[in-house]
Amino acid sequence: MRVRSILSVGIVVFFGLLTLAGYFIPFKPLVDLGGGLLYIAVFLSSIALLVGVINLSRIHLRKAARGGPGAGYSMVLFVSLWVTFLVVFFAIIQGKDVITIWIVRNIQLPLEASLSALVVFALLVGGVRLLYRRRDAVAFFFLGAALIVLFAAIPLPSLLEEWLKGPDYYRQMLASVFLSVASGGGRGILLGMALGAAATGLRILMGSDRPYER
Amino acid sequence: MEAYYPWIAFFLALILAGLILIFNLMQRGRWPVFRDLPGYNEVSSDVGASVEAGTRVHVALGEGQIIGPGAEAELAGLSALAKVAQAASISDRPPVVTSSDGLTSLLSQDVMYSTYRQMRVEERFDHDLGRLAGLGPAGYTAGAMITTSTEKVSATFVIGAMGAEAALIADAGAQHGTVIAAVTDPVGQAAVFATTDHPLIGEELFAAGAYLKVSHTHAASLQAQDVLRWIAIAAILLGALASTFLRLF
Repeated sequence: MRVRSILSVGIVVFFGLLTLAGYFIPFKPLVDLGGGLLYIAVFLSSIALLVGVINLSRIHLRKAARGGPGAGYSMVLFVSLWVTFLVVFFAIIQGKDVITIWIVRNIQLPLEASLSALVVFALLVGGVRLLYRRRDAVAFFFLGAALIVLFAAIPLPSLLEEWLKGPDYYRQMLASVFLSVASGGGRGILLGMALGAAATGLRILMGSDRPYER
Repeated sequence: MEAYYPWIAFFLALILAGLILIFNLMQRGRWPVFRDLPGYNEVSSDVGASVEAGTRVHVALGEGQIIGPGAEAELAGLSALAKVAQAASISDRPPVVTSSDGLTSLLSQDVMYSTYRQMRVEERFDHDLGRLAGLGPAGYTAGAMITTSTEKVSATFVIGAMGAEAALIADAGAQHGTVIAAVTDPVGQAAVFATTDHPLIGEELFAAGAYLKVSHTHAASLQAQDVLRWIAIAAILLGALASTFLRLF
């Protein structure tokens, strides 16, 4: 291991353990030190974000200059990114939040809403594809549970409601049985994920996982 | 009782760390046998196929942040990236990695560079291959979807913190090749279960390092997790029995 690697592992392990100690031990100077270290880390993270945005705009500028498929989209991204940045920057300097709010409400939110609508279609298509792609018991159970929960959630036509004679009771009973099973399974999954997350963190603190090795 | 939670967490962390060390020492160079997970079995064949076809592998690390929510999933994804980059290092088109966090994109560049240096092919490394695809869930999803279609991608590995939007990235990936997905969010897990051939559910995300044989410590930590899981199951069952017994008598 090179000297630089040893140094970076030492820094990560030392400051990681110090921050963790601040969480476990209620000793004020240690807690304050942990908070201060986190503050520095968040500051460095925001600088990394700026570097990332500059890198992103560089990639798209290069794509736009090169031409080919998607070059127009890259140009739109580059121009809109920096125009928005400049407009919001000067709006903040002049204390005019109205412009920023207008951009978020009229451009960003509709775009995000349309993407969310696409998710629904992707899930619908995925659900249908699931029927002929994976014909195992788990896939059928997954689809059956999804359909029952949906059946309990959607409003039925009034004629069908009358015919079922008080459908809410039966529908909700069926849904609650499935939701109980699902929440039990969900808790089991979360337990496993918590253990996995703890083990991942411990590997970093033990210096065996080193994504920062360069 | 809540005052004791940090101490309980501390002792659990100590037990977990101790078990990792013990299992690491017990392995003595041998690789433990784990149950079959088709998702991870497909990784090496998908990377091999992309190398042969002259196409790229897209590793989508998701919307998590190293300092913030989803850090553990990002770190698990970075572990998997090391192995994917190693397998694809002979390719003319190295893997492209997307994330939604500045630090994660820098770390992905580091992981790829150190892997390429180990393989003595650092001249093939390009900083632009570890990139910030977009900010926020919607921005990241749009960026990752475009990456799949514009970078000649034939295999997409979605591994990280992601919600239902993972379905869109998986769908875009499936149009150009194969998709393997492991995400943290419960809704995202349901979404990838419906949209991918080999979904990885729950803690299987954190088994990436052990299944892809990144290091013996990854295998040891998976064994340690299994031991603690059985202890947790026993504690839950005993707690339920004790509670029932106390109510009855």
